[in-house]
Amino acid sequence: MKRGRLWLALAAFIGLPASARAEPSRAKAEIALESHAGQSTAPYFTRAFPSTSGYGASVVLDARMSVSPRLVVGARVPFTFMRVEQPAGALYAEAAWANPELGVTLDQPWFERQAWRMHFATGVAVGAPLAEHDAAQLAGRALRLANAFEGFSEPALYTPGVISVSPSGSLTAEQAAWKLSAAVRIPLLIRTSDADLPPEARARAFGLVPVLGLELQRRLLRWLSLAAAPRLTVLTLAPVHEEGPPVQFLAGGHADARLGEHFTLSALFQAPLGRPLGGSTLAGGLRLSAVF
Amino acid sequence: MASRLSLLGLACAYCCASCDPRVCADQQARTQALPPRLSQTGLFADLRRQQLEAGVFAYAPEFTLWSDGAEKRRFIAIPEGERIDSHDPEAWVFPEGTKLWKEFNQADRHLETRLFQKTGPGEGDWAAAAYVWSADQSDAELAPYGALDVQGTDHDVPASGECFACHDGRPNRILGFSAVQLAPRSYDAPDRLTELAAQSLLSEPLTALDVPGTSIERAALGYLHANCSHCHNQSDAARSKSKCFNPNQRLSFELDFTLHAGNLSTVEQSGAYRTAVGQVIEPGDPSGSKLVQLMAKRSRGLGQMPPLGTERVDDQGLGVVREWIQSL
Repeated sequence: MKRGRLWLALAAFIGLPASARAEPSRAKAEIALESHAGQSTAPYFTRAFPSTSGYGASVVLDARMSVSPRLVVGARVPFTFMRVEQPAGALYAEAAWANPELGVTLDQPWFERQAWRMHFATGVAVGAPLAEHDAAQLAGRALRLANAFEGFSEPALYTPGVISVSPSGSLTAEQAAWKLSAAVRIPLLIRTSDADLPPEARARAFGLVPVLGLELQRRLLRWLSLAAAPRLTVLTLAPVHEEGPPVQFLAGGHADARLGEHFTLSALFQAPLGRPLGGSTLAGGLRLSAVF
Repeated sequence: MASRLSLLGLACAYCCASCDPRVCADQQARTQALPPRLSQTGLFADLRRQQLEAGVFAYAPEFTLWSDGAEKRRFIAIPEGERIDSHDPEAWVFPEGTKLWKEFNQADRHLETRLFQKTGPGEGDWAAAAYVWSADQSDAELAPYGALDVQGTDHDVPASGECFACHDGRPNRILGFSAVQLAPRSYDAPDRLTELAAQSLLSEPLTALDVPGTSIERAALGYLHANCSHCHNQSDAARSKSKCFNPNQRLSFELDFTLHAGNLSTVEQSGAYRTAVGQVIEPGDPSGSKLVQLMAKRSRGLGQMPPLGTERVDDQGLGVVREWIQSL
């Protein structure tokens, strides 16, 4: 019986979509503003610009609402403002909207005994192709930098010219002050336009960019917790053909401070390790969330 | 309070970015007046044979800008019937329609040709952009945003806004075509000043402007004039309020003949000596001079001098400057 439940859970984990980032929210609503600031040199797709460099920030407005005890609907609206390096060394300022996303997450308790609690979540998010692009590839390069801050793990948000469908799943185990989560998100990116990319860029009609994430969180105090949150992104079928290694590893983490009953302020840290971004990209950020 | 902290952090990041002197305006709109192909700009009557259009002539400045060893050719065309206002020998005023081209070559291959074209009567009425040559060398295409590593070389083509990062440092926006740069310095050098006067292309006759000092002093002062004075001068042109590589300090590396009524007779009168010695030049100590330290570095951004358009140190130019500082 136990083996049967294990196989069922594993099948659900692999087969059913869930939000790779979402935790089951017991609150009615949550709204958050997350910003990532960093500097990066990342590979790019065109003959004129085989790479792009610069610094700046991306901001994501993240809102979720529980429509039932287990069902959460959410939206993410991203925006970037970057200083994109030009060939001779000057910087151009570029602000660009990225792709907004709507999603649903279903939380399913699985196991609860004494101090242990496990649950899995499945979900799906759909992104609209509203990211800016231009023939000069300024907006495209700015969005590429924003995705580089995340180790290329957010292609649904930062790829111009695609509609995304992102099924996801996660499994979370909690015990006392510890919480361990494993998540997978598999964005399918369906091209709706060439995003002004030149022919040599080899844009694919469909892209698939699986992202695997782990998070280990430890509550240090009632109001303070620390977490390590590495991610692995598979780039083999990226929406634009990429030379170089098939995966990108991202070392990340965050520290969360609860400020009263409703607010949490998190400090984020992200550093890609290994090619193509390792050594050339570093980002950090802040997330302020409010739950009601 | 927490929300204010988060917003404050974002605001700080944004403000710091706004304070970055490397941030320049996107000047793509100023390239609208330029044709899409180099063959349409009026430089060549026969591009394949490299035959110049009538009225276009080649020139070479005496003191050249370091461009990572690229071979360069320069051309100018003044509209028929027009003349250059040469009243100010350091700031010639060019008529509307004037075109200047600068071609960059490596190993006998054309990489890019930059065009500066006067589009109106005002001093700042210029359009500028680079044309990137195709691999088959049949023509070059307008590239308002430049390009990296063209034709498999490490040569980068600047974006239009980067042209003005340097050229906006001069009132007339033109750097290498002036009385200082065209006066012959050796017996076998072409005398472009006399040629221009003979063709009635100058409003006033000019006498040659002699750079003072020994051969090393002249070479060093000329090098600093050509490579540094478009940003480091006291003309302040159009950039007194803009960032875009506008330096804060009051250094001047220009050969400022006008300041001395056309007669710069001693090295001590030069802008480099007056403003830099004791500041970024330590007499007798090249390695201890900040000028040499920055010229010897390549690290992108403001940690190197010049800060734009070069990824390799000019060992020969650096050697000339070092030798001059050593002699002080």
